[in-house]
Amino acid sequence: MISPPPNMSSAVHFVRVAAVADIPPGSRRMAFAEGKLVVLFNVDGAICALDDACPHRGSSLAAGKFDGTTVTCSAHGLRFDVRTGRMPGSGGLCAKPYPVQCIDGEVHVCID
Amino acid sequence: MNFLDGSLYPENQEKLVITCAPYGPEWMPSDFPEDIPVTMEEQVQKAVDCYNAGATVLHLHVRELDGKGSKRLSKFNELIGLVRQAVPDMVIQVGGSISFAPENDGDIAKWLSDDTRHLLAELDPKPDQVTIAINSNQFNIVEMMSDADIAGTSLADPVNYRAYREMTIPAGPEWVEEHIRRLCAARIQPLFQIGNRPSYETVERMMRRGVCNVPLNLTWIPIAGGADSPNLYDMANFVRAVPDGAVLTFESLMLNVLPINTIAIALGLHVRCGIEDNIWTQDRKGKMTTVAQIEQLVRISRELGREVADGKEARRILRLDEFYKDADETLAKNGFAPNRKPAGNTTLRVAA
Repeated sequence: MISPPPNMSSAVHFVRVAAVADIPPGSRRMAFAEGKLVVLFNVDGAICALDDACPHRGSSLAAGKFDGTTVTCSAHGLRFDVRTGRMPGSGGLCAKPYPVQCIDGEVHVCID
Repeated sequence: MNFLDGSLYPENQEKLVITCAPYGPEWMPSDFPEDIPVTMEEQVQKAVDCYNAGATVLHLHVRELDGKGSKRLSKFNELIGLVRQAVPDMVIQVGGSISFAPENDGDIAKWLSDDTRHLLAELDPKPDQVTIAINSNQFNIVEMMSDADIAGTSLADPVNYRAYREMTIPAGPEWVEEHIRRLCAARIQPLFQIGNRPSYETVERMMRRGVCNVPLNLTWIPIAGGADSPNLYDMANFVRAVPDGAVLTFESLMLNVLPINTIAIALGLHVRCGIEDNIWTQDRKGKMTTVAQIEQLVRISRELGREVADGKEARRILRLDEFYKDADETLAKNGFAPNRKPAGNTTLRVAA
């Protein structure tokens, strides 16, 4: 899960996007947050959020194969660790991760 | 394919169909700002310019205003509609390596219930062709590129380079058959993009099983990195396997494009060019626009005595409106030998 930095100011804006119960472990769900499409993944109980755009050519990541920690873009097969957005290994492209807060069973995402 | 006496005579060859790929999705607009269209108006105008230069098939991708590839079905629909309006006879061929995203809350459930690549069959207005790769393969498009090929471009960025090196084509048998079924139901012709002979043979086997009852229109793509190489031996091995009824187009990469296309023109086959495949002049003194590449192929073809097809002629050559009822008809129309019959009736005949 991408957590907000400890010193994140109260001005940072989180948006409610889903209920935790709607994203069982090992699954994913798409949601709109202030007009942006994000894809939420549950990795062993931790919710992670990525921009739903492959950093390669912009295709949707949400429809890709999700194996529990990695999503594979269905356009050209590039793989991204959903916890960090990074391609496995070092030096690869990075899908944009969003900070997530889970409060009272609700998932909130910061897209600022 | 058979190359009988006279096959190199232009009067025995079909007119040349030129496919152009002017949108170059692997490039950033800054890589070639003079020739990479970004706005919708520019993307439509590029199609018009290519058609006027002699290209009759448009390989279509769509960019958003931020320069990135679009994942919006509505944006594809918009460009297809505007191109159809501007150049009605141009064959519109949508690049099939795309995963669409929903555009509102109401679409989300539908999106997660299906492979979004199948939405290519729901484009409206419908395109004439959608490209389809066959078999899940490595698609390392930079393996054969030299430092000079990517010098000064976004592909020289190590992070971007790595992404293009690691590309694969997710195209397993279940997805391929379902995709072909949906495209045919929508009366959209699949254009097979084939990198090597095993992938081609998968298409033939699908046709023999009656799950791919369409004209065999295909591109041979010798770009290495999981596909054939652009040399005489791989070319001959591939072309030998293809039946006479097929419409075979060559497509290659960087400075291989022009010589490979010149061979295709001489043999009576068809060609693809454009900045998606190459951005350089052969002497590397500068970049070469898609329109200039088309004009170059038109000149070469005319020097060889082979006329270039117009839009209506290209549509006839590509048999865009043909869909067949079963394997027997498909094999016959494409010039394959028929399927084997039980022992006692094993004579093979090529019907077309």
